[in-house]
Amino acid sequence: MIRTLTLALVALIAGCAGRVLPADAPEHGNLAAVAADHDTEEAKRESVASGLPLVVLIERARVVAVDPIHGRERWSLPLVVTGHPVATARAVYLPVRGQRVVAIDREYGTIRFTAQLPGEALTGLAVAEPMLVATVLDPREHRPAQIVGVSTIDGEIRWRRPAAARLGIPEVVGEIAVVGIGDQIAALKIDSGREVARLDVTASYERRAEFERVVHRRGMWFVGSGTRWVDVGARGSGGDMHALARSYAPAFRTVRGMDDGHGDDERLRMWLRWSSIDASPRDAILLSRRAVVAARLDGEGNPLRPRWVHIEEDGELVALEVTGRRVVMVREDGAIVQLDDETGRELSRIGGGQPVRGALVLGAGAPAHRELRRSDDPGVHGDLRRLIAEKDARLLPAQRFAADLLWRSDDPQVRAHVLGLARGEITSDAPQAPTIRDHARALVRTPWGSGTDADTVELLGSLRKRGRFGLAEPVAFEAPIRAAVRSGSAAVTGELGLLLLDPGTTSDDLQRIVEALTLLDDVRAIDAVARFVARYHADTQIVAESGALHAAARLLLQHADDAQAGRRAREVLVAVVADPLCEPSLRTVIVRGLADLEAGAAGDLIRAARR
Amino acid sequence: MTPEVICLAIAVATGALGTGATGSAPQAIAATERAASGVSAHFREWLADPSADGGRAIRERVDLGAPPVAIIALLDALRASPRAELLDVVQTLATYRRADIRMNAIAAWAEYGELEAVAAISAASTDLDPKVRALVPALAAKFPGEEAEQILVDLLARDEALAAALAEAAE
Repeated sequence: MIRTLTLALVALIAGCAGRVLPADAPEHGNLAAVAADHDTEEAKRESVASGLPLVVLIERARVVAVDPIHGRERWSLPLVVTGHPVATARAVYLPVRGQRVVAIDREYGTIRFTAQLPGEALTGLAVAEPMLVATVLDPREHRPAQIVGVSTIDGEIRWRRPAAARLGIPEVVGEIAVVGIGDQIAALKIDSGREVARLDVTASYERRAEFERVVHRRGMWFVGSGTRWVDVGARGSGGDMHALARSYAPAFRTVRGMDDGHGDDERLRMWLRWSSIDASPRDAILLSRRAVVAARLDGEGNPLRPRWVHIEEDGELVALEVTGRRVVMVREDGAIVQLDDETGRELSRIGGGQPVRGALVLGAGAPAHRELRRSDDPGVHGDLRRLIAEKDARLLPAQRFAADLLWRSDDPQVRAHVLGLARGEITSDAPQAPTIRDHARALVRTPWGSGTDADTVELLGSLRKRGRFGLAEPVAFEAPIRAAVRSGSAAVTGELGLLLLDPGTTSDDLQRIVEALTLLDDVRAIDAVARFVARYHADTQIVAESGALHAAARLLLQHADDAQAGRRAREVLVAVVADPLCEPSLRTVIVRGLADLEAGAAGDLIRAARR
Repeated sequence: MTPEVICLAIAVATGALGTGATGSAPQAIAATERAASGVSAHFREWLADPSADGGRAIRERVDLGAPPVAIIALLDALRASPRAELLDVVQTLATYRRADIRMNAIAAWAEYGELEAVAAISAASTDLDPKVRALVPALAAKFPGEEAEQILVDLLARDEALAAALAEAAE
């Protein structure tokens, strides 16, 4: 009898905490509701306390905490950190060698406790006092993956649960910890490890992704990996999938089963500010080695408009975080650089010393909204061009991002830099120059400007209308032609070419079309322009009705040495001036233009065309 | 007086069908007369060549651009004796910016058979230039049919000026 009672007691102690967390269980519970259970007043107090800025520098065998506002070292400890630390308002928790977690008083740097974690490797840490939640791997166990709850008061393990599949990096909010397991996320009470909710994210099957990190931002739950994430929705929904349209850098840290500490990969990160109404990213800051580029994103996660650019001349950046209105960055030599989030203006710079592997930047979170009244850095386009010209090959992700942002400008003069890169007119002896050129070539085949696909469809519809007798209202092309210069696609160039050859197009619109095609500088327009010049060169009436034919001839001259469309342009120009019936003023423009070309690098091409 | 005669009369009265002098300054014509005659002579020569080479030469010259006088002469010739392989050339010229060339091109286009006549009449009926639309009654009379008649009826319902001119001529 006593033996039976003893066994029952042992089972109870090992108890519910030892129950296996299944990898594939039915959905249940309400994640939003259980997460909302926490004490909001306490959360506010925590938030205020967390707002006190601190940068924890992780050196090879030391941890140093610096007050970035006053540039003072707060404390330092000789610790070999092996994973990514986490913090609360009162303490910083550092995974250290020997599968231990050290809790340090955030203000004074005193060690509060050292906790021994089970297992051999840490997957991830999350904390909300009074509990620290860790996911670990222990290959010696029958079920290697485990999640444990450690008291932040004394460092004792309060509960532990083995899992039937690998566990991701957890997140803790209020009284629950949320962790990814297989294609699901499970919400556990942090005081007992009891499962209170479970949701499918159908990650790997339908979305061909393995999401391993759960993140809570401004009331929304995300489960993500790299550049993709799921906005966790209601039960049964599977969540909404999102992704950065182009993969410049991961937005979600992934550990592939083990957190082995700060690494080189952290020098390439995309920081995102999410919309306050849905899970779409609105702002992004790309950290790419020495370069930082802040940009606005469109609803599909594409770069839309640059905000500012910062390039560190000496040393690479290993960490970046937005706290309040400051962008706090840590350089590999331990220097701390702070920028104004609105303008990119440098606010302060604290000199470094020892090399650092990474850093934990603590402070108030980023504000939900940017100050809309303040404009972006007016010199940002010049900074993007300078970034592209940098010869450091490790800046390539930022350079690609910069080229994309230039191409999305509504100003054709800004986009001209990308055209120049694509044609090889702008280049350097940098090792990555051919890659940038290839990227620009691919870019110029995509829609230009800031418009969406829907905008382009609407624009094409407007350009495809034709003036004809009997319509209730005349068709106006002025606005669509102007819109095409700002934003459009290759199809828009085709439509402008067709409009150029349409007999119903007014002479004013002819002029506008040729001006638009000149600004777009798109070789795909050359065929239509060449036909226009050839068809009407001998018609004095048409030549005289506007300056369109002269401007069209100049556009052909401009592209006479183009690798793709140059041949067609040259043939038409040479044939037109050879025709004695060519309208004299038009002939003058072409003869002079060809003479200039003949005297230059394209001389052989022109002479060959004449033959 | 038959409707066809009335319509052709309107077309001539409005200058719809002419020799190519329409819309060009006399001085300009004089200055380019020799060269334009040369192009016209080439067109005549190529038209006389029934082989594919003749058609190809005409197409290439039109693509390269030709003086309006010569184009109109070419269209006159094609209206008199249409060449099937040059239908696309005629259709392209029906989109020329000058109304006089469009008129001659549409008139030539209509000679390419019943279906093409309907297409040509339809194109004329929506042209923004009233001189081109004035061709519709003439062509509808020359190439009668239900579709052509319907196009004419629809046009006259919309184009009051043309309807009035037609009524005046009929009186």
